[in-house]
Amino acid sequence: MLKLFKKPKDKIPKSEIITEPKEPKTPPVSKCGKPLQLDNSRWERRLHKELMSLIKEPPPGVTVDTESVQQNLSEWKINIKGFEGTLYEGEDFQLLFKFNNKYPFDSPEVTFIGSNIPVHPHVYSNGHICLSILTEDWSPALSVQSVCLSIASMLSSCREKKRPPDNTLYVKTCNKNPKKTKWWYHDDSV
Amino acid sequence: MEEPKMAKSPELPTTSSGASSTSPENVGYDKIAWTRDITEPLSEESSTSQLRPLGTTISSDSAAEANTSNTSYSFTGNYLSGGNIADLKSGTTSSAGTESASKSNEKDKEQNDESLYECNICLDTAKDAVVSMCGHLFCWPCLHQWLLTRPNRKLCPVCKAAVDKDKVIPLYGRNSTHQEDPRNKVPPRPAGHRTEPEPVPGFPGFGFGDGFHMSFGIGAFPFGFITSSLNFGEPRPAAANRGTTQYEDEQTLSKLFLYLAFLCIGWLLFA
Repeated sequence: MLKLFKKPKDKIPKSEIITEPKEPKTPPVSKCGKPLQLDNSRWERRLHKELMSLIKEPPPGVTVDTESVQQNLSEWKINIKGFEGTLYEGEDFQLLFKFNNKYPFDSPEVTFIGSNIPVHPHVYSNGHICLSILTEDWSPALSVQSVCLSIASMLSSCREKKRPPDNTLYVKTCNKNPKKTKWWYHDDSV
Repeated sequence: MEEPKMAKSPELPTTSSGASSTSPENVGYDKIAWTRDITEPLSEESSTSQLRPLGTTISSDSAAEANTSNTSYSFTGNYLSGGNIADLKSGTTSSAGTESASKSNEKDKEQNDESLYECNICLDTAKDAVVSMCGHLFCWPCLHQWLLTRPNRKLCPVCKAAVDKDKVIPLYGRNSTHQEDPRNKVPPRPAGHRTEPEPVPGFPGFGFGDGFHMSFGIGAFPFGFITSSLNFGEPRPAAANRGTTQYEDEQTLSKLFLYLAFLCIGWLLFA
């Protein structure tokens, strides 16, 4: 019997809440007080900032495919030129960056795509890259720009064009997502 | 929207916090009363209050009301976080920079100055700023989330030095009125939403009304038995001397229990 009396009391506040949302001013409150609630807008904001700085002051040989980014902010296509005086001089490569909503706390998924995948001891023929900063050594202070620079430097320091020794086996057995691979980083020379 | 903010700032008279929800005529009087008190010390913030429309739109009935709501926002906004005002400033510099080339130079300079105080993680002006022992600046919410992401490898995102909650220093600017340690407030997690289920009519249980409930339970049967009969950990009383009546009694009792045990075992075996 008591419950029967309580029920209508519970319902009254609900109807009040429904009438309230006339005021469209809630977003700034949450921005001030609860920054973590707006996770989505935060990673988008950071990606926007990175995109702006990459378009404004790109590192040498790096260009962003702005059309692909405009379609989908979480997937960037970036063109990289082989530097002069290296084994990859005159070649053009394309990188695909995929960001999830944990970025920058989670590393982006970076692979080479397109017809020309560099022949390099740390790049598999399906485009996967063996680079520690892409998985366990990732830090949120790194950026698309610094990852591009690392990959460019990795290509530049190569002395001999060859595929990784386990290329055929890995390409057959690996996951589509290179972040699911347990990488073993052993060679710092290249 | 203004209500909770006003409640947070202790300087405001209590009448104004209640006023925004009452009828508009009352609001006018109350707001006049408290804005007069507050506008004088806030002469600096009047510039930021003009920037207010960048962030959000104000739905107001009259200009006077819009003014009062502006001042209240700029005050509380500053009160809550300095970072937001800096954001607004950068917004105006970019809009002003389009006017002339000389201004765009200034804008670049200002942006460089501001990037000095950007959080290394979100790349925004650091709010609730903390600095690590290695000298790198972060928002505390950002750094906190990073420390949670790698709980067993707590490294500075910039230089990979060791960082920890206790190894960062909070930064307090001159105008930050709340000198509260940002590390003490863990970023609030989004609250879960749950609705109370409808009471299911069924087995009512052994309850009298709503407050009293009864339950039945079974204890761990053999363990209670063993501990009580074998007396682990308790010193047993010494055996009585031979010849005394107590000794005789104990002997007969032990024999009786022995036969009883044999009987039980025999019954188990043959029954």
